[in-house]
Amino acid sequence: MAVAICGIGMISSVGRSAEEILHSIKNGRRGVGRLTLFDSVLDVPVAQVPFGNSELQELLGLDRDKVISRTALLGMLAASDAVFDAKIPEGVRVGLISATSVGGMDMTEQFYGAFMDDPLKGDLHYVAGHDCAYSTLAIAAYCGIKQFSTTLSTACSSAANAIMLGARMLQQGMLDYVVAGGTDALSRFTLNGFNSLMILDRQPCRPFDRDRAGLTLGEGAGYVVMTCRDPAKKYCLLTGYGNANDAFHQTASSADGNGAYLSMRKALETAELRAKQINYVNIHGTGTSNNDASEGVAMKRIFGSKVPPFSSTKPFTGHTLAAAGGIEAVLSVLAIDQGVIYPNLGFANPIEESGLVPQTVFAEGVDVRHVMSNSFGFGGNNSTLIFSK
Amino acid sequence: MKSYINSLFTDMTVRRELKEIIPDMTLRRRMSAVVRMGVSAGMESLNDFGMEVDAIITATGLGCLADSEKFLYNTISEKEQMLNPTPFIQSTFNIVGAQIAVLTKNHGYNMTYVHRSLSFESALMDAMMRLDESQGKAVLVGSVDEVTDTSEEIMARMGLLRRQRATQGACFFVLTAEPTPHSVAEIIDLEFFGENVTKEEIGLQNAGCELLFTDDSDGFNLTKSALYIAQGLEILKKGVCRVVVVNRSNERNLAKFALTSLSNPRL
Repeated sequence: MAVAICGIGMISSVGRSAEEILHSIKNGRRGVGRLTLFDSVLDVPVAQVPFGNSELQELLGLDRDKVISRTALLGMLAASDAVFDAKIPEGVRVGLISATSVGGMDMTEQFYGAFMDDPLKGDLHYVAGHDCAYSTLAIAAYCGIKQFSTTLSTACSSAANAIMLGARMLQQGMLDYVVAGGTDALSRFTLNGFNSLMILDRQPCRPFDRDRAGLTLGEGAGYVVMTCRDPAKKYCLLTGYGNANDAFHQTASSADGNGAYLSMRKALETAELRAKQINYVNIHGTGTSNNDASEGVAMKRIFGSKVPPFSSTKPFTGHTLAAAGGIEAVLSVLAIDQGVIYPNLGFANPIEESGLVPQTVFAEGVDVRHVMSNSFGFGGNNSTLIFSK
Repeated sequence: MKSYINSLFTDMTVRRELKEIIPDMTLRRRMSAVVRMGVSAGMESLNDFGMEVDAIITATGLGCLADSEKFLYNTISEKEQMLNPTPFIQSTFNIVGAQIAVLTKNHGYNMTYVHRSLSFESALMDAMMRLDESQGKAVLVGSVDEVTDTSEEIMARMGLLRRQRATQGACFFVLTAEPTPHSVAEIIDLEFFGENVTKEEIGLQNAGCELLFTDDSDGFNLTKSALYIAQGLEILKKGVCRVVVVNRSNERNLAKFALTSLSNPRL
C-alpha cells in the first residue's frame, strides 16, 4: 500500500513555517547566532527559534503566562500546521507519533536550581511536564487527535523513526491518518552535554568539510501527515524506510559506517529502488569529525563512485536533535514537490579520506524523483527514509 | 496477531552479580540502577533464549533519572565548566537497548518508547507488528524504570505517593511468531482503549477469563504493567485458560493484553 504525504509543518531558527524556511534556504539565510534564550557561559553559536515562550504561546492562542515546556510549544505549532495543511476528513482514525529527546528538561532545569539547595523549593509546575510523553499529549490535545498517540525517543534519529512507525501502522490498517515527527527545544542540559563531549563548533557548523569542528545545536519541530487513502492533496510518497544499529559505541559511529550503510540499504530494499535511482540525499551531516567521516564511508559503500547530489541542511537549521528527522523529512518532501536541491553551507574543502563534495548551491527546476534522508542518533541508532514522486 | 513469550526475566533491584552477564568492567561501572536492571534482565533473557533476535524494543516511563540529575547537578554546581560527559551519555532514553545491541553485536531494528503508562504497551505493539510484517522471527522486548531520592521527593510533593510508594523494576522477554522450547505462554489481543472503557465493559468482552488489573497497591511505576506478566503466568499455571492484564492508571483503563497458556489455545 502506498503511503502518501498529505500534510507538512515545521518551525526552526530560519522560519516559523515550512514556507518561510524554504524561502530562507533559497536565499541563503542561515539561522545561526548568539544564544539569548537562557544564560550560559558557553560561547558557541546556536540556531534558536526567534520567539520567546510567551510569543509562541500567543501564536498558539494559549495563555501567555502559563508554564508550558518549549518542546511542547514548538511541537504544537508544527504539528497543527501539518494537520491544517492535510485537511483530514471527519470520522477517520487519526494517530500521533511524536518524538523528543529533551522532553520537558527545558523547564526541569529551571526548577532544579532551587530544588537542589532545598528539596522543598522549586515550583512544581516546572517539573509536571518533564517526561517525553508530555509534549506528545499536549500536541494530541491541541490538534484534537484522539484515536492513538505514542512517543518514542532514540536521540537524533527519533523523528525519522516516528515517521517509520506511522507508515507501518497505516500499512497494517491500524489507523487511517498519521501525524508523525519530532520536536526538541534548546536547553542548558543538551548544550552542556554536547559541550562536555567537545563536539560543539565554535563557528557555525561546516558539514563534510575537511576542517569541520563540530555541530551547531538548534531547536525546532517537523511533522508530516500520512495516509494510504489516496488523498486529493499529495506531496509525494514515503516509499522506503530502514532502521539499523551500529552496535559499536554509545556516542561514536564505527569507522566503516556500518549502521548507516545498513539503514540506507534497508530503505532502498523496502523502496525497491537501486542506489543509482536516488536523485538527492539529505545527509545527517552534523559537522562532527566522527559523523561526517563515518557517513561519508557509508555513502560510498552504498553509491560506489556515483554518489548523487547531497547536502546537510543543518548549517541553516542547526542540529535539532529529535526534531531533525522530522524537519529534514519535510525538506525532503519539498525537494520533490518543488524540484529543488539544497546547498550544504560552510563547505570549502572535502574530507581527505572520502573526497566527497556536497551540493554547494541552491538548485531549482530539477527533476527530483527520489530523495533519501538520513538521521543517526546516539546509541548507534541509524535511520533512513526514502521519499518518491 | 499471534505471538509467544519466551525467556521472561525481571529485575527489581540491582542485587545480582553482574560480572557474568556484563563482563566489561568499564561498561558496568558506568551503569546506573535503571541501566543495570534493564541490561541485566535483557541479557539474561537473551542468554536463556539462546538464539539471535532480529530486533530490540525497549520501554521506559521516566528514563535515566539518576544520570540526568547527576549531569544537571554538575552543570549548575560546576558552572558549566569541565563537565564529565558520562552522565549525559548515560541519560539518553534508548541507552538500555543500545547497550544490549553493543554487547550482542546486534545490528537489527532498535527502538525505545517513552509514553508514560503506555510505554510498555507501545513497545509490545511495535514488536508484534515486526513479527506480523515478517521482519524477523524473534524480538527482545522489555521495560525498565528506576526510583531515585529526588524522583520520590518530587512525586511526594505532587501528592502521588499518598496511598502508594514509588517502585522500580525491569521485565524483559523474547517475543516469537512461533512457539519454541523456551515459550511459556501466548501473548495476544493487545488493545489500547481510546475512550473511557469501564471495568464492566472489559469484563463483558472477556467473559470467562481472569482479569488482572494493575493496582496502586503495587506502587507507582509507569512501566509496571509489564511486571504483571509474571503474575499472569502463575495464574495460567493454575488451569485458567486466559488472563487479561488491564493497564489501569488514575482510575482510567488504558490498555489490555491477554495471556493464554500453550496447552490451551484461545477460545
